[in-house]
Amino acid sequence: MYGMVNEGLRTFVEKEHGSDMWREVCDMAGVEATKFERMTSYHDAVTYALVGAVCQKTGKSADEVLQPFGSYWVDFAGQSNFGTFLRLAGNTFVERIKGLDDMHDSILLSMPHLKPPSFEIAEIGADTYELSYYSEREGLSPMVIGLLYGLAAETKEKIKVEQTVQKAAVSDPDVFEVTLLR
Amino acid sequence: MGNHPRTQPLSDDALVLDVTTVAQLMPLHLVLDSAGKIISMGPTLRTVMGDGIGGKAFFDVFRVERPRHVQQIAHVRSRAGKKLVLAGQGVDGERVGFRAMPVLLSDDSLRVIIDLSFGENFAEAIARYALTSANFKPNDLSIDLLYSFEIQRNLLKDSETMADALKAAKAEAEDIAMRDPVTGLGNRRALQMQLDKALSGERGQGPVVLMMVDLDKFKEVNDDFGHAAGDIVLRHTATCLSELAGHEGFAARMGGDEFALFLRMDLAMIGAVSQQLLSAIASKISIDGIKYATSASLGYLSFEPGEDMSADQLLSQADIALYHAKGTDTRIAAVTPELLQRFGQQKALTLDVQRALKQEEFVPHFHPQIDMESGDVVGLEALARWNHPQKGVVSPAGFLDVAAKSNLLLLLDQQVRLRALSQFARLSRLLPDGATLSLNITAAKLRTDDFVSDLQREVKAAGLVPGQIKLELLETIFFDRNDCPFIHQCTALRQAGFGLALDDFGTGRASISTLIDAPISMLKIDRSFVTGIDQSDRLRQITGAIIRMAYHIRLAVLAEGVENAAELQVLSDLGCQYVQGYHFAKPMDATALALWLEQGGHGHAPSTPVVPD
Repeated sequence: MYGMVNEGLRTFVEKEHGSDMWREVCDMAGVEATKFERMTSYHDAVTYALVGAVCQKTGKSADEVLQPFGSYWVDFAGQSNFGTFLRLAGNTFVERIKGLDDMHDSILLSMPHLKPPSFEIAEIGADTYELSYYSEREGLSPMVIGLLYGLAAETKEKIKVEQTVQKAAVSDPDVFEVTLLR
Repeated sequence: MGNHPRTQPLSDDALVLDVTTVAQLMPLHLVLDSAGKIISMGPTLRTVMGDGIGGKAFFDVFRVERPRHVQQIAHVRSRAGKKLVLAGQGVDGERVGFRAMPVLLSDDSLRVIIDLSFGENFAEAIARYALTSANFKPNDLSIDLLYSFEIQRNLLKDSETMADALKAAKAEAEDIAMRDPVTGLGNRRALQMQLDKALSGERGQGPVVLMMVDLDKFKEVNDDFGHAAGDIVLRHTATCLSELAGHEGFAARMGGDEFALFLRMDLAMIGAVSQQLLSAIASKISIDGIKYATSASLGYLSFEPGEDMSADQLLSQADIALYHAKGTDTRIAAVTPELLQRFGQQKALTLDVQRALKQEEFVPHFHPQIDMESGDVVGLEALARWNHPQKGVVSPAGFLDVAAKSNLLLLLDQQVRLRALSQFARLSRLLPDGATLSLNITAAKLRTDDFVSDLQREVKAAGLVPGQIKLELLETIFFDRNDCPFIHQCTALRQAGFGLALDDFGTGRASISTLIDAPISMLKIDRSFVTGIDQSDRLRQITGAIIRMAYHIRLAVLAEGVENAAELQVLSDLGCQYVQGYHFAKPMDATALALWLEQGGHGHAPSTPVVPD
């Protein structure tokens, strides 16, 4: 995982619970560094350990931590150059979801070790979409839910997200039903 | 728009392109027939994937990676004008990725052109397949981006190299900050961090033993052999500790000649392991070819991970045990509740002494010194007492040791001395001419450079002259007659007009030889030669000999501790000039003394105060 994700988690925890809490989280996770280089690749275990420690310290479940972090992530990443990439995809929620893979492809040019997730969205009804989320990583679907809400907030749209299929094997996607609320 | 030539829409005829043009426009293209078979391809694609793909079904050659549902040629058609992500096998047998866009032809042949690009893999493809500019259409920006990305990658690599160097420098700086440069062991800060870590561990991991080790007489090694030799001893000790610590434990140099070690161990083994460590430290080492053996003391305690203690508390307690160990035969001591309680009391007493110094609670009491012949009070010995607000008058046994250990003795001495001088000045009108004030002087005070001038100033400030002051020196101070600076200091005092008396004579380490060079004017015979002198011929003989010897070398003699008339009579018979003791009076404060003197100096109860403080 690139350091930017860990940095996002740091600023999220510091914003919600203060910098002392973040130091305690790092201690508990056995992570020496309290800050991360955004473009440096860190082992995924670091991020999982940090999320686990946040759960323990706050007494919240992984879902309760990851979903708001997903929403926060859109804002956090949006403040960097990645925000520009995201806006290039379009002005609506659906356009931006469709542009996520292109954005990741573009980022891969400079960050070849990135193992980005993939999102496919298909219209299955009026204002209803099926979103398939592919990732080599486990347990991040709650973050995706938060991320979808965050993206919708960016384009000032309202959505309802429901996970319809849990990933069963590495190659299978998590599937979400996303309804645009008019 | 008026001046611009009018643009005409292109006719269908104008869009009919020959094969060469198509190859130039789309060097990576594929053409699929209605069944999805590859019927032609661009030159660059041929270079990358080989001629062999011609005639094969599209899905036998390519896998559509995104969107994943595109699995039939009809799906490919439905993605016309949209992006596909494909992967195939290059001529090198390795996966090669493409971005693709299907383009439908308008001739109803159901043929599909698929325009490919290397997408994010283009730099890799150029390297793998030795592609050149000619493999791309002339207006393709990819080639330009290649240069840009290569430069960017180099910059990124440089940044990573620099970041690695900075991280390494930071790690090195942190390591240095945590390490003792002489021995290579961890330092106090590192030990505290390790202890904190051990304390924060889960309960049930077994006890941890913390040992504090202090080298005995290390200063002498530095003084006798030099600091380089001292470093050899420190490194030798560090090696002994490191070997015992192994990989599981942690050894540190706390500073100076003090070390610490902690490790998990069976508590039943502590005694043996401690002894083993001290023996290892005491093994002989070679310093400049000379075999040298040092020794050490060791204090220890054990604790359980998860205990409600701080690293500082652990170190402080182990230090108490170490201090105690220095006074034992084995040089090893454990922290016990009794030891901590005793230390706590000592600490409380130290704080109380510090407070008392600020409150000026230390005062002189005066013990009269009597001329045997006239019966007059010819001198007063000032003795320190503590006017404690709760405990009343406390004798030196209750505070002197603590004051000395906490380096407060000089301050306490000064407080008592200054008050004694001023009170003596007030009392002197009740004393015969020539009466002196005796002050007990510590060796440390006597050795200070400014002692003589300070004392002269203090005496003068009190309205006295040096001839009224007699300094009582413990005989042990004099044991080394070769101590020239000290003898010089005494001579300077004598020349300034102060009297010098040798206190507790007969109990010191160099009784007779001291008298050869010491510039003293009086011997004070210790009470152990006086108590019971009326009942012991042997005491009488020895004390008589001391008095006669003093007489022959022109020293005045005062016998201390006279408690009854019989002892007084014997001393009188032996020719002792001066006496002091409870037979005449106990030490009294200035007010009581003034009353006692006014009433004739016979120990009657005092009336009204005469010399208010």
